[in-house]
Amino acid sequence: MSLPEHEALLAWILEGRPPAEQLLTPVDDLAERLETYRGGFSVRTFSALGSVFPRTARVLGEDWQLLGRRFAFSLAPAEPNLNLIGRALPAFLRDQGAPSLARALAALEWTAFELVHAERTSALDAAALATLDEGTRLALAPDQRRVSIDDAVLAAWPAPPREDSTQALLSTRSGEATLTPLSSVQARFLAVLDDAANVGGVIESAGLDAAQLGGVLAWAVDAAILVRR
Amino acid sequence: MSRPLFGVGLREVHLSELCARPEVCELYEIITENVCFARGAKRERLRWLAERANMGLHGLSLNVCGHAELDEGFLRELRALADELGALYVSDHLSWTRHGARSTYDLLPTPFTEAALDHTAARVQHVQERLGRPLVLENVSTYVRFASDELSEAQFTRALLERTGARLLLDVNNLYVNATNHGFDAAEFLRQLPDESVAAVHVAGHERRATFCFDTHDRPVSEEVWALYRAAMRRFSAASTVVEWDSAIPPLSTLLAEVARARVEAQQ
Repeated sequence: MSLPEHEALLAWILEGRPPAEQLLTPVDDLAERLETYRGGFSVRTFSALGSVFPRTARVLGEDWQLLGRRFAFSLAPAEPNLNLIGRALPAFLRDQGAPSLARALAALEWTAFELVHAERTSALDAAALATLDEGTRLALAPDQRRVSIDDAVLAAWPAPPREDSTQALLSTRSGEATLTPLSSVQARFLAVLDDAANVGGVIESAGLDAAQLGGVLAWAVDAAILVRR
Repeated sequence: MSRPLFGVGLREVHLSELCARPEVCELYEIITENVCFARGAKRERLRWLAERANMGLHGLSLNVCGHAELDEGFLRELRALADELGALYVSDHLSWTRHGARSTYDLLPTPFTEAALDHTAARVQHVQERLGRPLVLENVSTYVRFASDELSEAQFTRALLERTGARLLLDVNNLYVNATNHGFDAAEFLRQLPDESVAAVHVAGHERRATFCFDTHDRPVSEEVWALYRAAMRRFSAASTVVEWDSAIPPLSTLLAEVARARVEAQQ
């Protein structure tokens, strides 16, 4: 039997086909020994999901056991890195008709996971900001994300109460995934960052008066979230 | 690696506590896949820790015994991470973890045959060229063997290390589990290893079932494994030691108590 055939044999058996006793040893308790491998896949995938989606799991309660395991078994995992298997969980929960809070938390927790892996770029300080010309392109730091939230999400995260917008800043910079609710001025400023071609465009599109613009820039510098694109 | 170092497998739950007092261990072994593609705060904390202690990289997905093509992108990231952290060693497992396009997320046994030896040795050499350093390979726990095996685990391991210059991450718990599960002499396994071939030693816990041992890495090291550890350290006294828990992870103090015991046992 060739090496790939050995590999295929064991893979098939672990997928549930009957053990080929003449090919594997020992034979006396073979079924029980193979079960340790079969059980391992489920335990590891479910555990990996739980570590990335703790809030989703908490909100779903007993349904997490069902939905999480169903998702794990639905995978045809091409991804070698077990940490990355949760990418499709938010869509899976949507397809399964999971409660909206669980779906929202899953999407946020996956975004938080992505932020952990994002580049850390030097943020603009006040001095650098003062020297920018209008053609400079600005962006939100890659380890930050503007996200939509509601009161239920903030309570489940947990995070401070909502301000006068339905937007928050998601960050993992402190080592923990934090949600910071945004004021409507902050939310509008960050929204136009995504679209505007340059500093001039941001100022024009945000529709903020001078005081508002000064305040939001001071906040952004203080929070170290603005970078050159 | 001339002086033996003692440390723990670094787990997320202990990271903040260890960053507050990094001096409690000389060596932290991190799961490669948890940080290989990380760029943000997580990586910065590990870099900070690496400036204060030695780091080992311990991977799960290299698939060095398997047939799926080696992931060149992953190897590039791995080398960059090892260089960045000044890693003492880069390790993975002597197993396969992928069949075709599907990952198994398990460390599955390779047949101990001459063909498997040729195949694995070629892949190990390729990985070492990409990494620019010897690879350190861990012996894995197994519950079944292939009837077609032509070599013992010791013979296979020894031949692989001699042929490639790779080193061994000797998990004495896994060795104990395999010796029990497949009825061979663990002490003889140690005797068959090449001199100075062991870069590091893992100690961990297992569960004894009716007819075999199940490797759990979720409980204290058993007395039988400590006895095997003493024997291993008499032979490979320069090897570093890592206490490893993978699930039901206890408070850091429990791990540090096992590290303290390892320091004592290594002198016996």
